[in-house]
Amino acid sequence: MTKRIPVPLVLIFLLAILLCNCTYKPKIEFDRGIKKPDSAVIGISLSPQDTAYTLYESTDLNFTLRMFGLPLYSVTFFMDENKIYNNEDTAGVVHLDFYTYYPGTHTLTMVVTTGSNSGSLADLLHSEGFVISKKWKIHFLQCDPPTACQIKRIIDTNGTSMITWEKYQGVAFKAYYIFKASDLYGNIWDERMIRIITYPGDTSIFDSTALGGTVYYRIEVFNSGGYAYSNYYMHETNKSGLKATWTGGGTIKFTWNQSRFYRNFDKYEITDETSGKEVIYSTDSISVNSFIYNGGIFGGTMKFTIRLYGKYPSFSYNDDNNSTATVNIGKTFPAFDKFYNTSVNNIAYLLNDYKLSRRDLATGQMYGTVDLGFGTSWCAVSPDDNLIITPTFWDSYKKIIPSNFYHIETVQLPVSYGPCMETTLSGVGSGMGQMDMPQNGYFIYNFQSNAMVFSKITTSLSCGRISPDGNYVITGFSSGSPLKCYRITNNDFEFVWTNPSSPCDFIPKTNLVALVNKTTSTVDIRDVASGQLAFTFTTGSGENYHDTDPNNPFMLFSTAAAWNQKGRLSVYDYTTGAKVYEVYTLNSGWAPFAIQDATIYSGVGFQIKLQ
Amino acid sequence: MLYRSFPVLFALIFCAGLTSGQSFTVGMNIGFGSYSMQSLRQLQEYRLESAGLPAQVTDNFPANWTSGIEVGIGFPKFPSHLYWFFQFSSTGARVSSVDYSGEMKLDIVANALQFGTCLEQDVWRIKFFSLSVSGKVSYLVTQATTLDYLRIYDQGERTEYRFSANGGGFEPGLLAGFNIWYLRMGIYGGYLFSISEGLHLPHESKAMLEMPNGEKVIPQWNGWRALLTLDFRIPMAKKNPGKENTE
Repeated sequence: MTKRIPVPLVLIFLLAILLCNCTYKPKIEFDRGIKKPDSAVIGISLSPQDTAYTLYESTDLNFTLRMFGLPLYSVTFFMDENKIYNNEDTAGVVHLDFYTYYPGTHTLTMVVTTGSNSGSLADLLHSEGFVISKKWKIHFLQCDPPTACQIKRIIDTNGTSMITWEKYQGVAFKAYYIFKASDLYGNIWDERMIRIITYPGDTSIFDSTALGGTVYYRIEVFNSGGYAYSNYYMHETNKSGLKATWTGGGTIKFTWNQSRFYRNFDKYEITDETSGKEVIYSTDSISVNSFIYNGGIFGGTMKFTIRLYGKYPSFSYNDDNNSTATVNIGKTFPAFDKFYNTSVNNIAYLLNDYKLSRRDLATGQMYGTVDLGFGTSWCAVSPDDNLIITPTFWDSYKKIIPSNFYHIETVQLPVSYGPCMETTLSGVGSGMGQMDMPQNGYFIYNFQSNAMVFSKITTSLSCGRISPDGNYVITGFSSGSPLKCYRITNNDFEFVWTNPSSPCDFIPKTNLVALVNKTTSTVDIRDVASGQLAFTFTTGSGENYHDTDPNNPFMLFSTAAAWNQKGRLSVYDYTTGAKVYEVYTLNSGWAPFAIQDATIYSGVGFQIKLQ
Repeated sequence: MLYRSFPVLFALIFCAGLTSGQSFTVGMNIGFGSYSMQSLRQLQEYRLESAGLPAQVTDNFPANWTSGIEVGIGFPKFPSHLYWFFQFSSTGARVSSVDYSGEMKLDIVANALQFGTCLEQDVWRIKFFSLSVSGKVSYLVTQATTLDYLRIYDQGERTEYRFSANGGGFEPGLLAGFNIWYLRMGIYGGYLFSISEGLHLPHESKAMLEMPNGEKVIPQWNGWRALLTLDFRIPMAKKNPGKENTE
């Protein structure tokens, strides 16, 4: 046994030891079969874009990378050997600092590290990729300060100024700064920058903040080496330029320079400084530049101010931009064909376009207007303002009592005498008037009481006029016959005197009568009661008489042959014969003039104040 | 406690055998074993997911060689054969990925060392042939090694951890033998039922290997065993040497 047992035992234990070392060994591997990529493409975009850069100042370089699906690990920029930028974004800004690298030529290197996008283990673990680099030459050069760019001209167009200056001709342009200053008693003050232009080719701006007055502009031009500024360019314009023009009656027309600065300004306001800064007009925008105002004070002087209101803050304004206008408002009525004045409280009547209006001469106030009807070309007003009549055809007339102005009464005459001629009402409260009937005769009628005073069927008398006191009537044919003056008595009239010269116009005045001879251009002033010649005065050649109030001491003559022609207007004192005034009218001729006190009223829109 | 009682049990049985045994036997076996290893398979799946790289499971605890040795005592009746054995089994798994840029491997190699005793009873014998049933009770020590290996181009990184676990097993089996001279050549088939504690660091039993959900990773050696056996049976002369040739 001792010889047989050890052999198998030893073999078995050796086998056991051997087996224990035969541990399992995994051998299979999963080969993914990926191929190794050899190249990659990315896109680089720089702004500013160039192949080399010549810089006069620090510059920011904007870059953008197109990765075409490659993952970006890093972007690094080196200026020579110095890292100046590092990030992991596909876009960024690299600052090239002028003062660090000036002067000289440097190399800007961009290194982009990307993944391979192969999907390999190394790629997935970001241990594999591409390194792409690109280089640029950077030249940092010193730049001299610029030469000043002077303002060439400033042109205004309705509230907007166009400022034009010389173009910058150098390198490394940065900007134009446009400054504007105000004027304070001839000195420059409150200068402020109004615009920055960053393109050298833009050499003009429109300044819509130009509101008028004296302003100063100057241009500062900047380049990388410094700046230079131009001389001040003084520019004068009206401010808002308010103009107030009296256009007749109580109407004032305002015009002003329109601002174009819509962004900052909201509206205009016009205030009446005369009445204590009452706002008479407020616009909805600044797109208007005129306004018609009907609140003018008759014969007064008014002062107005226009203000331009800003949007920010709301309802703010700067009085530096205000404009003030003063306007004198005359005593001119609307155009009229006939003018009838009375002796009562400056009451006058204007007949125009068949409408009769009653006005106050002193204030211009209109008390009312009545329509006399188509075809009515004249009427008669009693001096005491108690009666107004206007003839109709053949056998009636219209009667207006001023106290009941809007009531027109048609009164039937007792007889039909044919068409009535011009009539005057004489005497205070008498209502006496006359009507002539060229074909049938003549009568004197009391229009106040609607009673016939005297009538006579005759063809020898016509064109009669009653003296203001109602005691005399002067008649005469229009041609060939001398004038005759009759005293009016009880239901009859008595011949008093006759005028030796003929033909002539005759104007009964208080106690006197003016006999106008257009042929000789003379006026005989005679006593109405006796016919005695008081004196004679000579008028200007070609002057025609204009009717006036019998109580008025002045007589008007004009040379104009038609209402719309220019001519000489003369005023004579009929009690002395002296010419007290002479003026050449501008746009009016003979048509209607009237005089009240020392003021001449014209039917075409102006008034003359005698001194 | 159960594991610590194995040496005592082994010593008691050995002493009893020496006093009453008929022959002294030594033997060896070699064959294939299958191993369920459910817990370790889950561990590999987790390693595959957490790697974050495109990889596949290329080895997953396949059936593998197993071998052992035994020393025993033959008896005339019951049991026919009592022996003590040492069985070695090994299997493993791999998660791998390879391309031009490098390779990644996540390996596990697990070894089982079984120390135990076996009772074997002949149920049929005719001339040179015999058929026996057996039952093996063993103390089972698992030694597992994990390997994390990553190489990117020429840069590699390798990390290994060793774990161990103690357990036990019971393996019923059937053996068909051919007996000639002092030898018995046999074909054995059996199924191992094993239990084990969780894998832990060799000297840190509380440093357990766990899944993210807290489950312990337990080696599971359950599986079929198919072996070829070879025994040397040496009669004990002091008792009845004349009967050796008749058996």
